[in-house]
Amino acid sequence: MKADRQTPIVATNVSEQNEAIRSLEVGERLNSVFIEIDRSRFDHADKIKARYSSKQGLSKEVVLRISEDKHEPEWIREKRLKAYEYFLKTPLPKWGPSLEKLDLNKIIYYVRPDAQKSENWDEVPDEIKRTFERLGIPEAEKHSLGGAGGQYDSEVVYHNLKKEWEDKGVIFEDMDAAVQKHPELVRKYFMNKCIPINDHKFISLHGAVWSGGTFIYVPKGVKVTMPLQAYFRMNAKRGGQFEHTLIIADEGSELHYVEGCSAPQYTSSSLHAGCVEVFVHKRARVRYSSIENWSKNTFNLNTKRAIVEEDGVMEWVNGNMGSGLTMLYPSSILIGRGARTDMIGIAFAGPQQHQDTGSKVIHAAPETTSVIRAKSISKGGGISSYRGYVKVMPKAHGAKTSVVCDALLLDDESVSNTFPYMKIGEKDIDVVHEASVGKINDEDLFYLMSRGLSEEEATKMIVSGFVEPISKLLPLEYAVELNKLIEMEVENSVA
Amino acid sequence: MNTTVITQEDGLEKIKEHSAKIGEPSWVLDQRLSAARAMPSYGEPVFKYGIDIFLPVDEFDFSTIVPTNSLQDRFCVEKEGYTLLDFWSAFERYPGLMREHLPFPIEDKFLALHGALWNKGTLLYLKKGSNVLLPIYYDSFVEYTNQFDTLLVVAEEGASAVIVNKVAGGSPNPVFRSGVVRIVAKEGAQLTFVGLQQLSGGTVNFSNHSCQIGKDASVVFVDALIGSNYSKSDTSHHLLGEGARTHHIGIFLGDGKQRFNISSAAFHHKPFTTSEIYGKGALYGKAKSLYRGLVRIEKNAENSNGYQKEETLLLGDNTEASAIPNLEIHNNNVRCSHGASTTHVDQEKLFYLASRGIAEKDALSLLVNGFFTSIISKIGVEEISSELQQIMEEKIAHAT
Repeated sequence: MKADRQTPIVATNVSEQNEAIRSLEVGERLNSVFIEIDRSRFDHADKIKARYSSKQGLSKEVVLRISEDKHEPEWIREKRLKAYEYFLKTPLPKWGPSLEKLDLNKIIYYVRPDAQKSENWDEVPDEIKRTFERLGIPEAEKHSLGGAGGQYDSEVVYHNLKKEWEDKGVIFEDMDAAVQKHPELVRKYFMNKCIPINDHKFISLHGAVWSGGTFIYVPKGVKVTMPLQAYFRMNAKRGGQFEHTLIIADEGSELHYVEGCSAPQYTSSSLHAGCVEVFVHKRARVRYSSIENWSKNTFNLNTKRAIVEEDGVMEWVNGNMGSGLTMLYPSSILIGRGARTDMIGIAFAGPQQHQDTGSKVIHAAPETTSVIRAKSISKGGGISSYRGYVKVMPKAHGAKTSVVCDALLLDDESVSNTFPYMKIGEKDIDVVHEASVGKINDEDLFYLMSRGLSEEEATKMIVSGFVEPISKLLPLEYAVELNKLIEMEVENSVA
Repeated sequence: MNTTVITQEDGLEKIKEHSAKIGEPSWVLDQRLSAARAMPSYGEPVFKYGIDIFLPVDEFDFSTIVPTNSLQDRFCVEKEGYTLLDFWSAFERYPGLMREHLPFPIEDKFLALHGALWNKGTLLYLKKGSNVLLPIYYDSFVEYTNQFDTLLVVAEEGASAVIVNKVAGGSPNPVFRSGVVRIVAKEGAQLTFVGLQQLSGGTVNFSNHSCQIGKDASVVFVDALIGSNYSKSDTSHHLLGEGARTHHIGIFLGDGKQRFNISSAAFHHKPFTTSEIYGKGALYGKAKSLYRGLVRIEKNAENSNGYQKEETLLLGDNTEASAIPNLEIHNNNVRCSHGASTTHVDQEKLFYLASRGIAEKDALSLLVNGFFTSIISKIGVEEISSELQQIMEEKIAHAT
């Protein structure tokens, strides 16, 4: 699809548009961003000139080139090369959905856009701005919701952090800069303890070609009260996105990090193999929220994992709307007594979509708790699967875990699967798993329609109620976007 | 698993020799040979069922499985409404029926092995419309070192009966037993099948059960696993006609180093079908269990109901329980849910009982017995429920 420069909604002059938005009421303002959201808007490629695009496929040269371009220290280059070796010898996973259509030789592993990092919005190139405008990034910025970092292709082009947090010692950097500025922290935490480079094939790939991403360090006792957020987006054709997120919450600190994704539509398959590592130290609390909305020909093979120490709390909030195939299983490893993790996820599988998501928890210490709640909606032949794993290690006495999955099937072509795995090696525990699959209750529909709602409105209302436990955990903008996206998907299905 | 002894020429020769000695029809021998030849095409058995979940057979040498020369005694019991007879007699008496149901589908290496080497076979034929009031007892006694026994139950239209299949014997030393049960419930048939496995401590037991349930037929299938060293027990229920119902009751009680590898699955192929799967187990000592469940609702099986519930009670410090209750739903006009839980004995309940003067060991036994009461009562046949209860009480009292 070609860039449509005539789209009236997008003002060519960004400051003009900002002006216009400022003058609107809050409700209208949100509307102006979200009402027009449709798939073609997201699935639109800007004509951005990449300064350097590696050729299709991966080679040692590409890996070295990335490292050289970023002026990386020796140890990172070594790590990349080692990861590349692991990538070559590790086979594709044999379980789960088929990855047959993913041609790893046709992907461009490194693209560098023609943009310098910028603290100032006016310095961001117009083309890039336009993309962000459509995604509502400047909105978020204006709402003073902490810093906003956006990743365009493989590099962070816009990054800002509120002064007050900087003063308290909070580090919010793009990953490339963190390597240069905070080498000791990065070296201590980067791809060793949490997600080693030989974890699985796509992590080895990530370890070899990762580029950009976010680095956050919250010092001891600091509570970041605003959600920090970054918007990621893939752009260059056949572009891979291999961003690395590293979050370290030191003892007693608190953080809410929000990430959202949307990618343009392309004819050949794209791959997203990101990596998120979270370290929750003693008594710290981290919430990681993400809405992933990649275009439908994207393979989203993301890896997210947290290590939670004594009395720490890790909360994962996940929404998976887009991509053709998603395989995403956020994990928490509870290594300290009293550690806790809450995971809540929603997956929406529309036509030709396969959402294979779930949660993984390892209880490695006594009195640890995990609560998993997964919801999925399938329609138009979409397949959604919950694939989860809960392990209670011997001696993790007093551990408690609860897994609840609910699936909604909107038509009879769609498929819903539940594959929970539970391994319990300690007797003094409580483990519960429950799942149910069903359709929208006819009586509920009838009731709402008897109150004067159309079938479509009634269906939308019921579905919104179904996803409510997730949307209420998100910041306002994201909640609105999530609801809007789901409503639009439902609209199409109730013809 | 070394199977060359069977697939090599002298292995096939032995099968031929044995078959000739029994005087089997040639089509039976052909089926044995093709099963033996198919064996290499099935991969080595892996006892891995997902990340980090595996339950291999320890301390057993599969290469000791060789064709045997044992001969089953011929028998034929004819009672009102049914006939119970060995396969070789059945080949003469019901050749059409036997050809219709043999060979059983081969899904893995162990079923191929069974197809080649089966050395015991029993047919229970329930006549059309027969209503057998007393339970039919058929014991599968394990007497050979490598025993492969098969039980085929064919219930004609409208037949009803209660069948009790006790599997006992075996040896404290390692022996292999493979048991295959096929139940065919035709239109409107009503069957209760109780499989009660009480094998001796050294037995490695692989059983495979499958129920074909026709229109408006209903089956209650009880799979109670008490004995053996390693028990792999797979049960699949195929709901093949509208209004078909199945009710699966899985029970396991293990201590010492017992291993239970259990799978129960319901496949809804037609509309208005119902499946209920219940599983309960308790583990003492170093026992381990793996419970896999599956409810699969096919695309055109609208208005079906699937329910699955599994509970494991852990009583030993070194026990391990894994559960994988899967759902695969391909139709939206259905109700389907499942639950699995793993728990321990509530200290408060123990304390309460102790405060009433009951010794801790007795209190624990009471609670474990109570845990199983609800599932045992689901069997619905009083004398069998109480018999099973007794067997379990006995084991619970001595469990270590």
